[in-house]
Amino acid sequence: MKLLKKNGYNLCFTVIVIALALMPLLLLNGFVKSTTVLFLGKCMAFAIVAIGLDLIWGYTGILSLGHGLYFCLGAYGMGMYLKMVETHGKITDFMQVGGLTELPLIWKPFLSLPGTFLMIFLAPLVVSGLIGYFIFKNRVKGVYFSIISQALTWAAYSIFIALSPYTNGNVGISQIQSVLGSLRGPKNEGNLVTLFYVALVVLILIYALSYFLVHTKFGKILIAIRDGENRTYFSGYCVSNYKNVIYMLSAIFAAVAGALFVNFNGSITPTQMSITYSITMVIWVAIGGRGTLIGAVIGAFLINLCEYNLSSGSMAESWQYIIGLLFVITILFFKGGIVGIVKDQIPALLQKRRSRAEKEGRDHQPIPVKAEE
Amino acid sequence: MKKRMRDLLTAVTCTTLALSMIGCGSSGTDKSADSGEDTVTVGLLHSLTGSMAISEGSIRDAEVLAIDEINADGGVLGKQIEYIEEDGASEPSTFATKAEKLLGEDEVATVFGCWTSSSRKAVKQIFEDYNSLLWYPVQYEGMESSKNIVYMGAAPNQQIVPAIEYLLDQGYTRFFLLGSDYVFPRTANMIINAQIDAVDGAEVVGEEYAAMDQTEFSSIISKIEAAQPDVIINTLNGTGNVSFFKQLADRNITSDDMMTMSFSIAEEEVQTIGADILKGNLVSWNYYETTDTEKNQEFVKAYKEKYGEDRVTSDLAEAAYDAVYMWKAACEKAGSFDTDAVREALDGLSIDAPEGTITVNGENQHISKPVRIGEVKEDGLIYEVSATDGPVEPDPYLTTYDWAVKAGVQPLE
Amino acid sequence: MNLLFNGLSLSSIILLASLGLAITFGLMRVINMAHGEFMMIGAYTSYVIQNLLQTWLGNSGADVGYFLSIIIAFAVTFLIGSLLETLVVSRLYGREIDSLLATWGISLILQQAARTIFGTQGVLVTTPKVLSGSIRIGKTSLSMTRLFIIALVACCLLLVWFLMYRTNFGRQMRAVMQNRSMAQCMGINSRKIDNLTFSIGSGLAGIAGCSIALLGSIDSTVGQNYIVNTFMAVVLGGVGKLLGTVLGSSIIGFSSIGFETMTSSSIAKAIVLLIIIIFLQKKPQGLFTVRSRALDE
Repeated sequence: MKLLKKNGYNLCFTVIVIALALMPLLLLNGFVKSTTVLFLGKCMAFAIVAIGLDLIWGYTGILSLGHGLYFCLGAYGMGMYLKMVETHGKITDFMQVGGLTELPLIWKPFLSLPGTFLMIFLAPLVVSGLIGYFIFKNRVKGVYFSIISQALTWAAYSIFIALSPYTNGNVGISQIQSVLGSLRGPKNEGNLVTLFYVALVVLILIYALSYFLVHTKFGKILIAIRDGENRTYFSGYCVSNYKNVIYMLSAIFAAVAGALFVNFNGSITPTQMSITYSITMVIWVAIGGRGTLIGAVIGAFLINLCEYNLSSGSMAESWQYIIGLLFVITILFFKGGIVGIVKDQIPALLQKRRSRAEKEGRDHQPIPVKAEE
Repeated sequence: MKKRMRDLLTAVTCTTLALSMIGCGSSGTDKSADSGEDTVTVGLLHSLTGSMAISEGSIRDAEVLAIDEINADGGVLGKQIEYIEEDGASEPSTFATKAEKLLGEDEVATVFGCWTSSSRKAVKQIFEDYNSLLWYPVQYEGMESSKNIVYMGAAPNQQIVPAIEYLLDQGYTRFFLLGSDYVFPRTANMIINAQIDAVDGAEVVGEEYAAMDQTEFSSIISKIEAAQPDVIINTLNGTGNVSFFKQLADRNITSDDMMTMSFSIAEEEVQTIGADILKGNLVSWNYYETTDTEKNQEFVKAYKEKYGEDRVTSDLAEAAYDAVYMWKAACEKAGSFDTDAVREALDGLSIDAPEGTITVNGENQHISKPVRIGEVKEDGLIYEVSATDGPVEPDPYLTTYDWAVKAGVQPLE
Repeated sequence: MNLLFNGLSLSSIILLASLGLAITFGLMRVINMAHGEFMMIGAYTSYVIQNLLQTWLGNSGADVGYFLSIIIAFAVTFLIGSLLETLVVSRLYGREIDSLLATWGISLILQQAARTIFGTQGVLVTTPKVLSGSIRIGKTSLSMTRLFIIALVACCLLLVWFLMYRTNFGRQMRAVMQNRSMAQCMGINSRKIDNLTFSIGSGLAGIAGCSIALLGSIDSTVGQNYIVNTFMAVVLGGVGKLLGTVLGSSIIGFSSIGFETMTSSSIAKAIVLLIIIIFLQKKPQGLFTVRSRALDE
């Protein structure tokens, strides 16, 4: 009982991990289709971005509407490497259309896997570091940060499209295999399972790292910044540095997620960088429950799985209504998302009913439900 | 005690939630499309939501029309066609996810779908891995051929190249290339540049790209006015066309001052832009609603009956309609729904389509089809002003054109 | 000359679109992500009215219909705005980030509703006869629609300015925005003021929608294109100042056109945004600032 009380969230995460770990076994025994496993792989990538977003939004109170940018930086990095594997280091068809005759310098690091990994870490680190440094130093905060991050993403999106000889514009990097080769078809199930476990391990590591982080003093300061930025300043902490560090960390998480995603997906386009997609990521965190790591994970899995199963045929239109409504209702009434409902709302409701029953036993006075603001 | 209860409740509920979630993911397995005794399942993969829904709606409608007609007629190989529709949400990676779902989970016999080149390229690898067939109904930029895609629309030499030849014949010499910032316009313009370079006396006086969602064309129009072309080659996509032509009309520029030749304006776009603005301008396609064949009269009548008198047919809708019939013909020739058998049956297969007789070229899986240059008239329809003598053989890599080989437009491999 | 006119007309479109935002965001601190969708509603309203009058009165009805629709679009979006304020936004005062997210959800719903009602195909508003064509001055041709939009913006601006600075309601409104509890003590019904302010902001978006209907086709995503530019115009100008918004949108409009003549439009868009963001690093409060000693401004 005591264990449960202390580690409710972790237990829940463990259950998810075990369930995920069982998937490939079910696949090999034919209970589950390989497409399901592949899709769950993508969901794990989404869960990783969601954890990153939750760290800055749920814990630090910075809402970024531009995490699609970092997701894409990672995904493009990985995609460029995979494209180079396909073309054996020669220039690609879109470079030719764009009039290039040799491989541009920016593609050179992606000829080798270590170079690619380095870039996947460095690119978001540098971009987010620069952005964060200036924005946080100048004390841009709250919605202003959100609007600026959104504009930045839009600018980056335009640049990616305009530089089509280097990035292939709207089409993005496509027609690529995963790092391990093809993932589809019966003879490639081994590849799929290996990659799936790699993604699972990455997810566990990132969860563990974040869990550790939010329980250190550093994490406590983040929460302090969220709840009272000026007080934290006055207590002698350099808020902008803390913000910058956590922003960079979450950018790297997003990039790692992007790199995993492109392996499962087999293509990456600038659409993943658009504002709409970036806000979709926020929706996962909001509905799952901000401010708890498990909430982000649950949200990412739940929304994507529902969308996967519900948005086909005539349901496609209704799904837009459902997700819109769900989001509005969550924001309006359930700040803590699903986790919040389970953790606070339901017990509160039970408690209210119990106390009302007790009260009604005593006298028949109705109690006011809504408190004045 | 109370607090402990609460935590217990949290943990238990979260756990159930997590489990049910994963169950939700795997539940798809049970419903794998059992192709059963008397039905065959196909997939339709188009954007029903998002910005591309504007364009993809009509080709989806044409596909459903063809399926319904075939079903009423007794189906394919004695089986009724059932279709599973997935929403690509105008997002290439969603297209990829949904293609996987159709092929891996629903195990459909074949898929009709995609519109944009980015969505086609995003799913190409998946169709190759699963060895299934995608029927792609849109004219496109060429430079591609996959044995797992049947390209029902025009290759560049069946739309762009003849159109430029026609313009050169008519004595136009100064060309301005305007397109959306996208793979089709960029590749098309690369081809057009090569083609015009090879002709003495003709030149490209400007090349401009507008963002996909651009609605403000005033500075592009100023650039065009400054360059003084006598014809604009327009490869703008979708909504950009409407803004561009409206703003062109606001400047009092009509087809008499500056001719335009468009590759993405079909009857539906004419309807949205307005015939009074577009009249007199040229377009290039393989089919128009006014195309005079017996098959076309039936097609137009059936389409309007099903979807309303105010709807118009277009080249794209027609190609999508043909795709379903071509698949039916191939299955019947092969006597099975198996991808390899169907592909083998495709070589040299012809059907009588609204645009005329069309034949599959087995080598590159494109279609040989007639090319028609058309002019927009006041009634909002497009009328043929010039046409090729017969069907033109598809040549996606333009290897049979000397100027193209010389300019090196083909991919390197 | 041509450049100037193009710049002026783009600025006026951005200004018209951001006027409503300047009120809801600048004065009320509510980030209305559904602002673009209110523009879409306005545009669709003028399409519907025009078609209705065309069937009743023939072609001249279409022309009258357009001008009439500007007023009706204002009324329609005003009412929807009022409804939205009561149901959603009023619960989120003081929670800026949440108001941003909730209105995003609303915009998803509104977009889908537009698809359900009007279909996915884009629709078109016919330009009234009076507004078609252009006037030629020297080498430049000034298109009538653009001139009309510029005039419309001037009217709206004047009206808003009058409303804000010359009427009793405007005084109450500014009082509530500057110090809510003090205004309440003075006997101002702040709930009513909030509701009216938000509704007027939404109504202005409806008028902006009518004007963008003249420039292109109308579909469910038409409002999305304006979101980034309009927010940037308000932030750049300085939140809470009408003059700031005017200046902000002119800067964005003129510089976009300027860069576009030099490069391509995608690059121009990126350059303008990046320059504004860098500028905001220098002056995070925007061009014009409301002086205040509060810490959390």
